[in-house]
Amino acid sequence: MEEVKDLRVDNREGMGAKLQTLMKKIPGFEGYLDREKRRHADSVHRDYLTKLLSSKKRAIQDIGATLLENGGMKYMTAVDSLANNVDKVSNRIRSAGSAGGNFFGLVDVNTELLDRIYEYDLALLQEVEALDEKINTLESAAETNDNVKPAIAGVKDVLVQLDLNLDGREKLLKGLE
Amino acid sequence: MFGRLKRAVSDGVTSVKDGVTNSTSGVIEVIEWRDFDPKVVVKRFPESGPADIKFGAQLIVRPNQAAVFFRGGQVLDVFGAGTHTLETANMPILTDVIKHVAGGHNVFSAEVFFVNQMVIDDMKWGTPNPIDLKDPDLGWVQLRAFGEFKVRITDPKVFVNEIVGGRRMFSAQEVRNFLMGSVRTKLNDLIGTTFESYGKIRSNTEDMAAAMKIKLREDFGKYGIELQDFFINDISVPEEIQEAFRLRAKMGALGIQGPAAYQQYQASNAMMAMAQNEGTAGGMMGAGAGLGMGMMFPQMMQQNMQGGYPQQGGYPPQGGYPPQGGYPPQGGYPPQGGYPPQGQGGYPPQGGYPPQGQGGYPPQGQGGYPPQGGHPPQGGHPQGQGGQPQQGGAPGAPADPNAAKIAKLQELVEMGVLSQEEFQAKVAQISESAG
Repeated sequence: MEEVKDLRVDNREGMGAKLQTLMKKIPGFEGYLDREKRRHADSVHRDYLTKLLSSKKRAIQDIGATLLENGGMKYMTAVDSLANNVDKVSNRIRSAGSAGGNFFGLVDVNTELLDRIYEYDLALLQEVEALDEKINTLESAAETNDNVKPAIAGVKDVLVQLDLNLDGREKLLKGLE
Repeated sequence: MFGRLKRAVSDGVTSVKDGVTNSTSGVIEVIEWRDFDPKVVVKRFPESGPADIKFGAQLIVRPNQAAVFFRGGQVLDVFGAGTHTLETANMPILTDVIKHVAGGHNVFSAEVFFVNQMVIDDMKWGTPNPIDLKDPDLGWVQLRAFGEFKVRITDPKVFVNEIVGGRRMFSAQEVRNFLMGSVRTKLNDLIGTTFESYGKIRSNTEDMAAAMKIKLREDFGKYGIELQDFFINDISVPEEIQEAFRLRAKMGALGIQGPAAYQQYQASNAMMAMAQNEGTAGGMMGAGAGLGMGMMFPQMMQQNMQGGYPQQGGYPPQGGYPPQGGYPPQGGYPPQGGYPPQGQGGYPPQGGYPPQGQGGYPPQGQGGYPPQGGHPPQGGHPQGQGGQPQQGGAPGAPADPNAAKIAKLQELVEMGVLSQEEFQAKVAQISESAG
C-alpha cells in the first residue's frame, strides 16, 4: 500500500506548474514529492503563511492607529474585526495539522488529490499576498479618512475567501470532497 | 514536580517516578513542564536555579508552550512545541556559549523557563482614580470604568528577558499588575483626546475598546505580549449625575422641555404634592420645599407680593384668573353639585372675597394685616399680636385652601405642565374631598 502511495505521489510530471510555483515562492519548501518530506514541507508552508499573515495583521493595526489619529474612531471596531479575522485564519493555518501526517493519514493520497491540495495551497498563498494590495488601499484611505468603509470591505472579502479556501482544503484532506 | 526533580538531583536519585526528569548523578536528562497551570505564565526549571543538563537530554515542550534556555543572565535558545533532543545542532547559541566553559564535557549548566503561550483571560482592569472629562452639558465629570482583557505571550524570549528575570515563577496576576499602568494611562489619554462628551463615550464603548487595543499594542508588544481582546464592561459617572440623566429622560417623557424645564418639572411636582396633601401643614411645607428647589415658588411669591397684599385689583386678578376661554372649562367646571361647595360659604365666599368673618381676611386684631412696618414684617414673620392670623389661613394664601389649590393647578395648565383633562380630574378630586 505504501509503495503504491509513494509511486502515485512520486509522479512528478503530474505535479506540474503549481508545485513549481510553490517551490519558487516559499523558501525551504521542498514539496510533497517525497513522502518523508511531506511533513516538513507542510510545516514550512504553514509557517510561511502565518508569518505573512502576522505582518498583515500588524499593518492593519498600524492603519487603525492612523485612523484613530485622524478622527476615525467609528472605524475602530471594523478595523479590529479585520485584525481578528487575520488571527482566525492564521490560527486555522497554524493548527491545521500536518499534511504529511495527520491529514494524509486519513485518505489515500494520489497524484490527483495532491495536485488539488497544491491548488488550495497556492490559492492560499496568492490570497495572502493579495491582501497587500487591499491593505495598501485601506492605508491610503486611512490617511485621508476617505472611502475607508469600502477599503475595509475589500480587505474583509479577501479574508473571507481565505477562510473558504481553508474549509475546502480541510474537506479535501478529510476525504469529504 | 520540580520539587521532585530537586530532590532527585540533590539526592542523586537515578530516576523519579511520575516525574518530569530522570536524573543520573544529578544530571538532568528529561526536561518537561507537566503540572501545567493556566494561571501560571512562566515556570523555571529547575525551580532552584541553574542545574547540570546532559547533552542529548530530552526537552518536551507541549503545544502552546515555549522553552527558553537561560544562562548567566542571558536568554539563549528558544524551543517551540515538540520533543527535542538537546544537541549542538539545535542549540546554536547555547553551544557557542558553553563550549568555552564546559571544556568538552557532555554536561552543561543552564536553567529553562517554560512559557505558557495560551491566551490568558479574565484579566480585570479598573480605574482606581476617576478620569476627569469636560462634558459640554454636565461640566467636569469624573468617570470611572472597568472591564477585562486577554493577552498572550507571543515573544517568550523578550518576555523572559524583560519581565521575568530570575524569578522561579510568574503568574497571570503578576502579568496583569505589570500591565495595569499602561491600561490606565492609555484610557485616560483616549478619553481625554477623543471624546467630547460622556454621552458619546457611552454610545461608543465598542469602538473605544477597539481603539484601546490599538493604543496598547505597542506598550504590550515591547514586552513580548500581544493584547488579544479588550473589553469595557462599564463607564459610569457619579450617582448624582446618573440621577440627573434619569430626570432628564423623565422630563422628556412628560414632554417638559426647554431651558426652564427643570423648574417647571419641580414646580409641577410640588403643586401635585400640595394638591394631594389636602392643605396640611406638612404638605404645604413639602410643597414649599419642592417649589424652592425648582426656583418657582420664589418667583410666584414675588409675583403675589408685587402690588401689595392683598393684591391690587383683588383676587382673582384682572385678566389673569380665570383665563379667557380657559378656566372654568365649558360644561366642566364647576361640576354639578361639586365645586364650589354649596352652603358652606363656598367660593367665592358669601360677601365676596376676601371672606369676612371670624379670623377672616384681613385678620382682625391688633395692628391688623399687613402688620405695621409693611410686608414682610420687620424682624421676621409676625408672631402673636398683630401678626400672623391664627384663623383664616396663612398670609398670602386665599382663605379657601381648595381655591388656592385650583389656582395653582390652573397656573400649571397655563405653563403647559398640566393638560385640561388632568386639570379637570384634579379639580374633581379636590371637589370630592371638599364636598
